[in-house]
Amino acid sequence: MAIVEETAGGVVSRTAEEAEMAPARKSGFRRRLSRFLHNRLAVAGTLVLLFLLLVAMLVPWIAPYPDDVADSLNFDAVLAPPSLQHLMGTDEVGRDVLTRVMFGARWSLAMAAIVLGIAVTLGVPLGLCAGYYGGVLEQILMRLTDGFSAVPALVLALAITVLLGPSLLNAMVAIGFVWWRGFARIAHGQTLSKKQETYVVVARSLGASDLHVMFREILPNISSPLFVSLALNAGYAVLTGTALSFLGAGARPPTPEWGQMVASSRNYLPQGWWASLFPGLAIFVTVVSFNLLGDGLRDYFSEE
Amino acid sequence: MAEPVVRLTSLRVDFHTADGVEQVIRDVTLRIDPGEIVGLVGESGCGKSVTAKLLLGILPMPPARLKNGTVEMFGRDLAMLGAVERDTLKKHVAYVPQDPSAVLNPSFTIASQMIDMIVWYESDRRLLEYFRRRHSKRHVARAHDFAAELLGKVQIADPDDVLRRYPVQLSGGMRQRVLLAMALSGRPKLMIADEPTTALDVTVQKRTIDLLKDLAQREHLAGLYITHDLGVAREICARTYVMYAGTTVENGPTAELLDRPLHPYTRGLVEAIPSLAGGLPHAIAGQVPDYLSPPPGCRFAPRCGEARDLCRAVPESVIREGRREVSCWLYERETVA
Amino acid sequence: MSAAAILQARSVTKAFKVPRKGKGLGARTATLRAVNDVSLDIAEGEVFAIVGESGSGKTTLANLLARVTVPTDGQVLLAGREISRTDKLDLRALRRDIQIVFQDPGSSLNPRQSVEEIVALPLKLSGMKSRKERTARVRELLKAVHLPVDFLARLPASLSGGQKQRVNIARALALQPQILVLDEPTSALDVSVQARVLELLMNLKRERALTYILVTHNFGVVRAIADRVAVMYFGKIVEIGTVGEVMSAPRHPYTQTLLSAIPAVREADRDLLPSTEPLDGEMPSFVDPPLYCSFYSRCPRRQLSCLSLPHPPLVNHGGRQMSCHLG
Repeated sequence: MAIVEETAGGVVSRTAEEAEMAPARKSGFRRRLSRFLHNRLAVAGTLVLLFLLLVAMLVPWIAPYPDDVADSLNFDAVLAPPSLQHLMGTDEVGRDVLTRVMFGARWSLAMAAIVLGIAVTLGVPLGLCAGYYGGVLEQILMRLTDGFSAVPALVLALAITVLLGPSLLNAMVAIGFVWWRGFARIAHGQTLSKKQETYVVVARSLGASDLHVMFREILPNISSPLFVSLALNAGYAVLTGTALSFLGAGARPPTPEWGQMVASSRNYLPQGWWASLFPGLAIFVTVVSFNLLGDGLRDYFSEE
Repeated sequence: MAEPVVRLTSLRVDFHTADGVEQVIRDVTLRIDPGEIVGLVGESGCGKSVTAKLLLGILPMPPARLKNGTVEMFGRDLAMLGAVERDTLKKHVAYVPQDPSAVLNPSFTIASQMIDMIVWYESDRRLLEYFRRRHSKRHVARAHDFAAELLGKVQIADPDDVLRRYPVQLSGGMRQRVLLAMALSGRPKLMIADEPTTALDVTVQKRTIDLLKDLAQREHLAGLYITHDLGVAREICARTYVMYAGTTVENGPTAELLDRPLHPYTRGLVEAIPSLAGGLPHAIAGQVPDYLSPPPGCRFAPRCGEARDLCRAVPESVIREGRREVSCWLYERETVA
Repeated sequence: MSAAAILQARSVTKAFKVPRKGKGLGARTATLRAVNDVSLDIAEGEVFAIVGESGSGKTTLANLLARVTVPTDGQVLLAGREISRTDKLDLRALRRDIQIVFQDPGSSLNPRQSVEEIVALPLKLSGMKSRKERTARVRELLKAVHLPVDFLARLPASLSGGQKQRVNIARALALQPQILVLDEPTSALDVSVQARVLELLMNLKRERALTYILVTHNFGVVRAIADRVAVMYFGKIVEIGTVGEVMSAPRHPYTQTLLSAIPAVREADRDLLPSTEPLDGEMPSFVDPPLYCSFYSRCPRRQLSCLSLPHPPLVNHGGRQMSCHLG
């Protein structure tokens, strides 16, 4: 048997080390994937969300009654119970509930995207800077987040819609501006712990700019808790948005937004139960799915 | 001859992981006699910590599975004992870990933690009894005195002062000594030390080693001293086992083992340590085998300069010169002249 | 000193303000000097070792020499040029001359970056814009440290300790510096891997005409590769000399105690070490440093006269420097 000369391996890629390292193990990605897949609930949640996303993207083509999105009166089929033609029945003005629920998916996902988009874009960089620079900046930012904590998002949103007129967009932007604190706090705490890591010191000693250190060195290493928070907050965002619409401060009729649909059809409970129930169920399923995904991510990351 | 305190025979332990079965321990045979400190040396990943955990009974047995071999402690085969009996045996074993902060709770004084341990041992590890005694002034006072006595045994000059302190107020060497004192509180017969001096400065290490030697002698302790530092093994251990990739490949009186190594791995290990006379040390070519698919015969063969075809079969363990044992095809059983 | 001094420390001090628990009306903060008035000359092409135990200040000194931090007093000069001032020094340009390999190979690598990204960082920062060019350079560097080229895409988690250290070395060599500061380059590695890394370091030094500043607590490593050694205690240097001299005939009592505490592996090595009483006592408090010799509290050769004198300066005894009143 030949001696395996390790130093001879400079040119040839297959050195002794490489040979010994040859994965009898699954590749890193597949291993991580299989670990995530072990959590049945999280997988279920993810699948539901993916399905929802698909529906939201394809709805103009797959909705059975695309015209029912907006105003459309159909006195013949007012409040028709679920049937083969209208799987979820029709609402109080004869519109197909299924179609409207499908369109509602767009609204809900868009809501989540806007709120979180603003919250993350504001919160993460601010938290990063606060943690990285420390000193006065950190104090200011932390006081700001404390201040914003005192404001319940829903109340703020209501107040804004009173001022600016009811519009889901306004409300969502307002909520985004309140929710940035959660992400800022996570980013801040994580940055504090990571900034003493040797690889950060290395980057700085090499003359890397602060921007590089924060976003290319630290940020990738703090993304896990941020993702978890993102998933969990998405569910909450949908809930808040639909609640606003339900209260009349968000989407106005005839917008096929779930909360709005529940509100306008609730007068017809319990006989015309389908018109309120199905949108409500859609909200429920969506929020729970986001939560399951968030929990799953948290369990997954905590094992690392 | 009194029976050995520990005897491991032809141990084989597999780990069932998500990637497959890792054959972590292939063949470990080890003996510790009463009153002797035995060294277990090897590099990272060789399985020495797994062996220690097995002895301590803290190896998680679902992923790990004992495939072969026996573990005997104080003359009893552990596999034959029930859980209660095994627990009773464990009382006589003390564990000294590498990192004191893993054992010392930063929120409590040394006195509080030592008294906890002493009373726990006194109550025979029964919970109700422990609570009763822990709250009895008389017992606590007695335990306090015993704690001071133990601290004196580890050569701490002012035990009462140390007892009053919190772990964070003590230096690393001091903490390690407190740990040793705590290990003694159950009046153990066997001490298992896992790299206890690795994190210490060399001058502190020297004092700790001298202390350990002294303690073992005075308290008639047997010990298993796990380390990767051959020099420390030479200082402390009467006999040493060399472990590679889950197998004890060689053992013998430590000084002899290091001055005249028999197994090619031992030789490589010694030559890899820089000599104080100068010159670059020699590396051992190659890498530790993958436990998922280890080489069929001698696990060191792929890296061994003297490997032959014969090495595809697992070598037997052979006794040389009466006191030394080696598992290598280079050596044949000595025939009695 | 035949070769010119390439790196010099002149009375370098690194002090920190620490809160002091008030006993009465003393000052609220005390000054902790991790490195206290250290002067060194490092010759081009040598391997200069700095040895000490924890708390000696050796890592802080390494960081000062490599300008990872700046001294609170004193200067560090590179080829006569001062590099220690806080006002805008071009750090990126400096890194072409002097680099540091930090302690703990594991945490020196960003776990989310591939080997290629890690090693290419200094190249990117120095203005090498083309990704292709950078990758080509990284390949060369991996080859130089004997790592297979298909390690480019690997993440640190899939590397062994020795391999991680090589990535660190490759990164340090990316800008082709003349001086490399190595902080405990082998301490976290297994013995057999240590030997390989030391071999690699010496080969690289020869090939690239490097100068090494080696910080370690391991005298074996010092003996194997270093030319001169400085022994540090409590923020000061207590002895400097060639490795051969210092190890075979140590003058300072601390050096003697340090050497005598080494657990030698071989019989032959034991004979080479002095034997002294093991050290007693603890290091003095950094917050309340003594006004006399800082080693007094543990010195086996102390005399009462040592108490009345300030900390002894480093005195030159024909090429060897030593700081002890008793000479």
